[in-house]
Amino acid sequence: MSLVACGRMGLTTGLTGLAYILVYLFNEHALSFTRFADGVNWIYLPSGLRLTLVLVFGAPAALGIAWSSALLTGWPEGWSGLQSALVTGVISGGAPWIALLASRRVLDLQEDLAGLDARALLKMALIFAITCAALHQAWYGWSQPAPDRALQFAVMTLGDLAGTLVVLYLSYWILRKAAPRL
Amino acid sequence: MDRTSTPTLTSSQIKMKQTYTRFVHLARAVRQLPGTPALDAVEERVLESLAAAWGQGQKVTVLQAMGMSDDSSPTTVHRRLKSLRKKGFIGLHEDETDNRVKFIEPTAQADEYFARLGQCLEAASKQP
Repeated sequence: MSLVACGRMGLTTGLTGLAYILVYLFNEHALSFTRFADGVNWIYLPSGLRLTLVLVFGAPAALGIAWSSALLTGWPEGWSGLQSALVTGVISGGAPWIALLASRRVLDLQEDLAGLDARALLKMALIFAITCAALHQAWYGWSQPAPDRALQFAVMTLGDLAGTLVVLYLSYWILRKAAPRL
Repeated sequence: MDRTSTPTLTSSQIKMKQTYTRFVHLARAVRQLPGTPALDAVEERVLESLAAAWGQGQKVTVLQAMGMSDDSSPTTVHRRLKSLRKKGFIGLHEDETDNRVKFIEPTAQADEYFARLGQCLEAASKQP
């Protein structure tokens, strides 16, 4: 890989991670009323960003989400939370990547998303929501057992899906204004 | 030097092209989300231009329609004509003497669309 390509990948990873952090902080503060449990929200906007960034930018976006999630998890706890931060980062970045590969296979999509329509996009949103929630809850269940883990999985799935729909419809209006010819 | 040969893209340029292609396909899927307006801004303008011509009793060919827009390229208009046809707003009718020429005709769905617009305009004009 050339130096330019590495630089471009680094820039994409950095910017997508930064975008994820901003949307996460917005969700935490502006939508704090949607919080169900620690790390579980009824509306989770970063999940929509996860879907769109990974669809467009692929692996660099997944890496961006991974480092930003690790930072967001580990920041409050410092060194003592390093293990948790790293695992959360790997899951946060790996889950959408796994969901993308699964979606391509299930929906028979090409790598360049040719043939993607609204129906397939909504199915993909569901696959992303279930995959990300399942992997996160599996880790939480192992590291912090809780009696209502199944309920948290259900709410996290719904929250991811709701957040994705909000982001997708917001994208529609932005595209209509900014790029009507696309 | 062969003037017809296409320039070779670098791997970085190919990657950027692939990223842009994925973005375009995603944007098109987003435009089709349920509950969103049936026509995008360019489709609306194309249909309005056609309506203006039909209102004057003109028959419009596909080629004429492609040249009607000042702010969209003929390719863009052609692409929107295809999507308007797919969405059921227009139909194509071959010329009797030259089947290469195709006239664009409104469908019942287009007539309903214009009627609804007319009702909205009437309702808006009656507002105090």
